[in-house]
Amino acid sequence: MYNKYSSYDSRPSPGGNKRRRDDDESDFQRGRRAPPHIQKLIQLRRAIVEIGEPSKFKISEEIQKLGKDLGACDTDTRNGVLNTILAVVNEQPHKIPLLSGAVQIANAESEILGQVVIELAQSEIQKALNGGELNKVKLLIRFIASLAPIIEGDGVTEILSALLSIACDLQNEAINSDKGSKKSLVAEELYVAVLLALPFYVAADPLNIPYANEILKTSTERFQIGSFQAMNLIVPFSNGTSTIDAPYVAQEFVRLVKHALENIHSEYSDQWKTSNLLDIGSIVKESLNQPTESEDDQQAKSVKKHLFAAVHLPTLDTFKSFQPRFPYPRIYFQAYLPSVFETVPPPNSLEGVILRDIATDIITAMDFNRKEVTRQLITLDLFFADGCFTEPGISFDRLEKVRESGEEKSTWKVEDVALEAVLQHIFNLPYQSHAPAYYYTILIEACVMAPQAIAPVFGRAIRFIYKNLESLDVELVFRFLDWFGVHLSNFSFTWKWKEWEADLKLTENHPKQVFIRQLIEKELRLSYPERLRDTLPEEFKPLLRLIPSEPIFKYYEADSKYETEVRQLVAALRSKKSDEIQNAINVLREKALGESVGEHATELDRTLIDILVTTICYLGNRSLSHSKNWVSQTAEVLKGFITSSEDELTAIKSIVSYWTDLPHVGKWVMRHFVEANVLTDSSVTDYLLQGNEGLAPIVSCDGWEQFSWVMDKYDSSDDVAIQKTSRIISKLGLLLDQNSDDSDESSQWATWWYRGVAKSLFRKYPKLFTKARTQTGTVDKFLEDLFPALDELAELSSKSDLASTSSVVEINGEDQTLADGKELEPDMAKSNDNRPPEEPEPMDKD
Amino acid sequence: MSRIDNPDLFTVHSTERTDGPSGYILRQAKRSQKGQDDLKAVETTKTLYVGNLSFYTSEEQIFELFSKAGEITRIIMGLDRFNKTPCGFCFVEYETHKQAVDCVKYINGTKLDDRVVKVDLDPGFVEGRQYGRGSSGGQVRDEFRDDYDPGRGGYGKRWSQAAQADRDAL
Repeated sequence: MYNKYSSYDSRPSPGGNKRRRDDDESDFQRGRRAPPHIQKLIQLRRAIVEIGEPSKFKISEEIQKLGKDLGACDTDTRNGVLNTILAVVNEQPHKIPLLSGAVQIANAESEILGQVVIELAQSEIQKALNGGELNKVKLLIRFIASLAPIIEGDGVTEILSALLSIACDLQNEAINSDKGSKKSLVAEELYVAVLLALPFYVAADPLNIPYANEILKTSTERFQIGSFQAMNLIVPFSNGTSTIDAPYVAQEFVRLVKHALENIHSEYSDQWKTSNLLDIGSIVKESLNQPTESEDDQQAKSVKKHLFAAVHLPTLDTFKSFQPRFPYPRIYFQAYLPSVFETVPPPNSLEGVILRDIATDIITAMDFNRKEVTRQLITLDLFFADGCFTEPGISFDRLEKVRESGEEKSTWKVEDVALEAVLQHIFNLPYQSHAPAYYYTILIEACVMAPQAIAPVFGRAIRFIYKNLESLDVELVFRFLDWFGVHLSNFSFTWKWKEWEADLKLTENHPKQVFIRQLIEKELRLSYPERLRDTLPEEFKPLLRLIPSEPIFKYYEADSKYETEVRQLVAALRSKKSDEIQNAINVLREKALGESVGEHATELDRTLIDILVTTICYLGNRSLSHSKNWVSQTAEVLKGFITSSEDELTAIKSIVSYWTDLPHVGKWVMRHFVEANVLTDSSVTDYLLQGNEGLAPIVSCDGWEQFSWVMDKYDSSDDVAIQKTSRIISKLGLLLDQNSDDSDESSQWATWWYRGVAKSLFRKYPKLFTKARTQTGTVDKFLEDLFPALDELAELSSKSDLASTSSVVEINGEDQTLADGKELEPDMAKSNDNRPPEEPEPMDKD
Repeated sequence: MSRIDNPDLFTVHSTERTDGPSGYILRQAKRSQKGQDDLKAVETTKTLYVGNLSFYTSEEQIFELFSKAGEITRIIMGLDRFNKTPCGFCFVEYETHKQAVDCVKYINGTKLDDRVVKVDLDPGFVEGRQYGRGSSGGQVRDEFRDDYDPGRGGYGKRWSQAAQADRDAL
């Protein structure tokens, strides 16, 4: 059979055991061969994990072969493959039906194999239930449902019904409670788990249809999906202004699953539309009916069934204590809306929900091998029936022609399905479940593995999101920038900028205008202006700033009034002798007084603060480590000058102004000042929410990141943090007020940004904001209107305890840093850590 | 199938992990006690070794990319022992071990500054390790390279010296 994936089929070629001098080659591969029985075991394991992947055999043949091999193996080998089967169930759920087919075939050969697999699944379900691992439960019951033909009596329906019943009870309790959210996310997760097992139950054997119908009927009658008021806070696209419509109405995954399942069976209830799932039942039957060589037919045909022992279910209260997988309702992200025809299954179809669920699970479970994740995602079509998808890698144009020719064929593209599922993770709200780099590099791998098939699909997603920027959530605008910037940096920064040329003429604060500017800014950080110049069309080149090799130190410039004194200060600071430093500062003060800036005491202070802070920036400009060192070494001196919030604002502006050409470096340097307790975090948020000239700094990737960096450390049980948050609400209100006069387009867009920022912040820190708002006076109407939704989010996030363990660790790490900073002696003792010493050659050799 | 697999492959996971200790660390562990200590140390390390950088890649560029895998606490640029100029590697320290492992999983093998970077768990930075160990001051790999790599000073140093000697002889 023609191997259509040969280019990214990573399976070893026969005889591919050449020695390589690659550093990564592990030693065992150079060592001796494993003994034959171990080799046999390894082969079998490999056959299990690779089931259904591109091969010269038909899928039915593969399943049969694996089944026979499993059936023929000895006790040791059998025990040796069990964990591999579990690993595939948990990590590559698209292979569950195929594996269950192989197990059924093996069971006909050797009864014991079926028995141990079912016992294993049972005990694993028990473990997962006890541990609150509901996603594992979901996959294991899918496995059990697929194995139904070899399970005795009502074993499968009993567990499915029992879990559904718990889901209903939990959900009813939430709906009937007087106050609080009408949602139980744990209930929804169980409900989805049960419903998504049903199609596999039916596909394993059509005789199960009446039982599946019964469960479905109960679910329809008893499970009522709770309403959710805060939808507008958690959807990726929403109606921006009166003239902007979201490209689609985002829907909750749970409702889509309900719709998909309830529409799967026809009125007559004797048929389920599962024709796009692999017909494993027939493959198994075909295999079992094959005449065997030696044994008598009678024995081969009889199916040996096994007991699925009852599972002990935790109490309702225990279920309530489980952490749902998604802290807020799970939303279905779309990037490929049908224009003329569908390239992905509709979200409310069986295929739509199953594929999204499978892809999400693969991405979540296998993050330790992103190439494998990518490979599985872009070959998911192999695990569905022929005709479910169009041919892989087909171009959009050709697909259009096929369709025009009037053929009734599927137009779903596996590449679109795969990419949309990854985008779901990038744009997931309220947060991403992995570090963002993961999703970026999956998409990079996809483009590397199958450039011709993926690149156009990728481009369509980018264009779709860009086209709808005006309705995209503001936090997601920043994520979009971050992702696209990294992506371009991996592909020589090639993009058809020309398409966006007209948007350069948009008004200054328009989201698209801001996006283009910031994207180039992002590119600059991963590269340099000369490199980018050739990648941009003429019209875009003015957006590339010239970046001097070293930031301009204004006090050394010819027009500086303070050059001599500042040089003296620099020398004194380098000497690290406190009396010299004090002396230099005194000289500066005299000079400033002489320049008669000292009419007002504050003005004098401002001047001195600006000189000092700018000088520290200058001294630390060689690298971030240098900056950090200089700031912590001079913290005590700085603190003597920076005593009020106005002073802090002056200092922040000095940092920003020194690093004006490399604002992201300024962002990190500012953190050094906060970490050294020279600046307070509140002054950073104040600054970011100041919108006097142009958009407030929070409207940028850096600004948003910096703001999150501050707020991530706030603990909602800490009164001080609540007060700080209350101050943030007031500042947000001020920003919105300033632009309430929506006379010109630019200020309308400013309002658009600020409202989006407020929404994003509320969603990200609901517990802090809901507590803080009670301490805040009247605020802007827009914010006021968000509060009820905010309360609902806060409640849900308390339930699921939003604070992930990783952020707790980060907070601890932070405390550590601050404590270290405090230990530094006022006389600026040399920092005791082992970072590279101050540069051997002073860089101002001028 | 003739490939010899790790006997433990597919016992816990359905595919190979890409975040284990590098082949280098594993080999060293077989050779010396220090190697074994290093192997132990990478199990909890927050530090990464990053290689195959261009000499021109700045600390800020590294910061920009690597902060997408976690909170960076420090970057130590690898320097030419004699010139004290960047020589194509660095150490990145994260706040947590998990972030360091994430970085190996997600960023190893992607591009920075148009070059595919190599990211490995590192037992931890000690003073002195920031300097190249090659006889001309840079990394050893740049001594013997016979390819032309504009991002890493052209041809390998030995190679270009030999070429120069040939030209001089003519």
